Amino acid sequence: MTILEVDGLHAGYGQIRVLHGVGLSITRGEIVGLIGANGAGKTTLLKTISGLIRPNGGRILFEGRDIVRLPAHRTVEMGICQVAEGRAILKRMTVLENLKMGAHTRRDAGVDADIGQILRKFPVLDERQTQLAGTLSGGEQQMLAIGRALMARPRLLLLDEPSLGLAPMIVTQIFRTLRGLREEGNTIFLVEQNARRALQLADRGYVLERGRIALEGSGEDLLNDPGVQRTYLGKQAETTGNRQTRLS
Amino acid sequence: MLGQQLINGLMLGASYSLVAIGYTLIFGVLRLLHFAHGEVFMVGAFIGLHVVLWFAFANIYVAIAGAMVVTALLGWIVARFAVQPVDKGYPLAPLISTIGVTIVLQNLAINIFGGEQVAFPETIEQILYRIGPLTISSVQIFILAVALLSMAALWLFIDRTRMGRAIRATSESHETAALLGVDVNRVVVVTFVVASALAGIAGVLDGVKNSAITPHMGLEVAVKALVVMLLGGLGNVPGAMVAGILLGMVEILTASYLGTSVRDFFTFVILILLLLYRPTGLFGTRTIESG
Repeated sequence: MTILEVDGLHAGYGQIRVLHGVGLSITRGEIVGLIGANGAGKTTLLKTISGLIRPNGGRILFEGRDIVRLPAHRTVEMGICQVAEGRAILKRMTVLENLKMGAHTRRDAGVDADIGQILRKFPVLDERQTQLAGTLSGGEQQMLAIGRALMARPRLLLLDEPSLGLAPMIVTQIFRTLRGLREEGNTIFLVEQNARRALQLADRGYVLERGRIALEGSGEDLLNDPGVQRTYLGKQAETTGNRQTRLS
Repeated sequence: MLGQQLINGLMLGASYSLVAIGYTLIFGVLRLLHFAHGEVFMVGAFIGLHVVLWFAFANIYVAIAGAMVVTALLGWIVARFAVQPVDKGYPLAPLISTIGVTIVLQNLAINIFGGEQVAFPETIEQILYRIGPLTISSVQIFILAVALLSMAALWLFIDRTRMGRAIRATSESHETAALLGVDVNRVVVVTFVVASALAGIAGVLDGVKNSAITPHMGLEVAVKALVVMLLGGLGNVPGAMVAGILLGMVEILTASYLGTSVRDFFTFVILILLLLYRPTGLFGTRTIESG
């Protein structure tokens, strides 16, 4: 069952075109990874799906409905929830208020029960309920950002670089959380610089290069692909060449 | 003597706070200095006056309610027609646009109400209460009570309600708020409406206090409230509340001990010192970094 289908998507910022006909699909219940170098258009793709950027062309079907023209707050109502890059928590609000903001689009009575559930899932947040979110550590902030997104009961979770700037131990924890989320039946589109971890976790993956999908396959296939290994996994003698690719 | 002056300062300051809260709310969500905010205050005063003059049944509460309704509507108009259509890519354009609104409102007021000072009728019976050495009038108590109640109501709205949370989220980051399902454009309009209604209340209170209003009364209050916003920290609502009362006290104290001629001089000395040594305001603010 396809939940999201992107077809021939062109998008960018003003005169600058970033995406040149991207197409991909996501099935309910899977984790799909998207890897690519800086500037390949990963974040632009996510922002276009979530409605922050209006595309210049192409289609985005979510559960069969075209959402290309919907602004971000409407796509959230439909069930798409994006955790933006750089742990975009609300620093001047408490942990609890952040979670409440996550349920902004909901009017049902289950919000408080869900907050309790999130706090049980992330015990670090439970201890810091009334603390301002800006005082949390980087890992805690990322947990809060993910927990907050879950408060919307999303049918599709978009994650932009959840491992960015975090210590390896914390990254392991985050990826364990994501695995748990899939087991609970969540559908996740994961954009990552950390290609190895992302592909190890993902059911399927896409490689985005200069605004185009260059490769797709199962996570395992991509991990074993010589091109992917050379460019994104650093499995090559000339590590300098690799570093350049990463920086470019 | 000092206690008496502090009471007077509290009164003056409370109305500065009401206007400054509006400035700081709007600055919070849009990083915009709403130039016409002082004129909204002036419109509030005139609506209050005319509600009292036109309707026999109208008491001061009806006047305040009428002023709130009209200024709220004015806030909606300013947001929808003067700010949002130009809010794209040119950071200075909305500012210039609100300067345009200032000119329009002032000339409208002069044309409709005349350019002269108009008397504001006595709507509250003057009773003087003596508490030890202090004298407080019923008018002072009324003004203070309305100002503090309005601020308390605003605080509850911002702190406790869904829309209040959305306003705070929007003032931290439009993008983050939108990704949480907040309709940012709607939040901006609501912020203008709320800020303008507060300025409307402050306008009527000013009429009650000074017993006279003019179409030019907006400018002075606008400048003072601007100083208050800077004192309190840009976008910092409780900061604006406290800083307004602080400035009111300072003005009354300088006026009574050093003479009324140096009152405004002192206000701007404070502003200059503030900008030199504590540009983020007395209480600091974290608004700007996240913008």
